[in-house]
Amino acid sequence: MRTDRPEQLGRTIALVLRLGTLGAVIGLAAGFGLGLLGGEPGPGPTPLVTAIVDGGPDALMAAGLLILTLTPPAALAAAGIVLYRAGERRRAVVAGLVVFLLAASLGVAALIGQSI
Amino acid sequence: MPIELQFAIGGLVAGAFGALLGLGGGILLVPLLTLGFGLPLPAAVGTSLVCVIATSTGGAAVNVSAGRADVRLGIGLAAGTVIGAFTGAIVAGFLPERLLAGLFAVLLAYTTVAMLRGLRRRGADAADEAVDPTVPDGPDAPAYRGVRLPWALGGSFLAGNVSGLLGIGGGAVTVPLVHLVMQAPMRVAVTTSNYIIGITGAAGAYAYLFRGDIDPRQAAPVVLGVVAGAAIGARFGSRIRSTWLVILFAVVLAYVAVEMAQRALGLG
Repeated sequence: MRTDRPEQLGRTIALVLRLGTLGAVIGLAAGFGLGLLGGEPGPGPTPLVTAIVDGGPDALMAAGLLILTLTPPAALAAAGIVLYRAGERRRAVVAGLVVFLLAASLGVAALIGQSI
Repeated sequence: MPIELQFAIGGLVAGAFGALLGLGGGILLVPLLTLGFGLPLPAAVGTSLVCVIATSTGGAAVNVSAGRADVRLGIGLAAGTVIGAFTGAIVAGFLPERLLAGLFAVLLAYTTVAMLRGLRRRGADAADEAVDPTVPDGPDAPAYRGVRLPWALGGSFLAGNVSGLLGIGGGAVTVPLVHLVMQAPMRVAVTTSNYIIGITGAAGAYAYLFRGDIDPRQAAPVVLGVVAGAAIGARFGSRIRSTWLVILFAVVLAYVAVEMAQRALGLG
C-alpha cells in the first residue's frame, strides 16, 4: 500500500487539470471573441449537444464548457491509473467508482436532457 | 456596453472577491446573476457551478502538485459529494424558484454569520498555517483519513446536495467536515475541499448543461471573468487581509440575503 513515487500522483492530477483548464479557456475565449465580433444575438439557453452541433461561436463556447466539466473526471481517472500502478489497489478502485458515478451522472443527464 | 462584457466584469468582480475573502464564487455569483442580471435561478445556479469547476481546477492544480491537498482523502469523500450533487441538481429542476431563493437566502445568512465569527478565529488559523503544509504519505500517512469515515461520507453527500441545488462549491460544509469531524489540519481541509469541489461541481453541472439551463453566451464571459478575477484575488490576497473588508462584505451579503428572502416571499 505504498506509492513508490508519491509525488507522481500530484503531478499527474495537476497536469490533467492544467491542460483541461487551458483547453476550456481557449474554447470559451475563442467563442466569446468571435461572438463579440459577429455581434448577432445568441439563441438563448440551448441544450449542450444542440449548441455544439449548430456550430459557430456558440459551439466553441459549449465545447469549452464541456471540456471544463470533463476535466475533474479526467484527472480522477488519471489518478486512479497512477494509484493502481503504485499498488494502491483499494484507492484505485475508489477512484474508479467516483469516475463511474460521474459518467453515470453525465449519461443520465444526456439521456433524459430536458425532461429533468 | 455589450451585455457579454458586463457578464465578464461581473464574473471578474465575483472571482476576485471570492479569492480575497476565501469564499467560493458561487455565493456571490448566484445573487449577482439573478438579482443583478435578471437570470432565472436555474440558469444562475448552472453557470455558477461551471465557474466553481474553473476556480477549483486552477487552484487544485497548484495545491495538489505541491502536496498541500490530501488527494487520497479527497477521492474518498468525492464519492459522497458526487451522488449528492447530481441528486441536488435533479431535484432543483422540480422545485419552485421561490423555494430555491428562500434556501439561498438562508445560505447567505449563514455565510454572513460565519464570516463575522471567523474574524475571531484568525489567530488560531494563523498558528495552524505555520505547520508544515505538505501531506505525508506511505508509512507516515496521516491518521485522520480513517477518523469518523461514515459521518464524513454522510456529510460529503450533504455538501454535494447543497452544491447541486444552489450552485455553490460546498466548501462551507466540506471544510468543517474535514477539519472538525475528521480532525485534519485546517490548511489540509481547505486545500482538499478546493480539490473536491471541482469534482462535485462537475456532477451537478451535467444536469444543468443537458437540461438547457445554461446559455453559452452568458456562461463563457462569466467563467472567463471569474478565472481572471480569482487569479487577481489570489495575487493580492496576502496583501489585503483587512478586517474592514470582511465586515463590509458581510454587510453586502446580509443585504443580498434580505433581497433573496424578499424574492422568495414574492415581495421582490
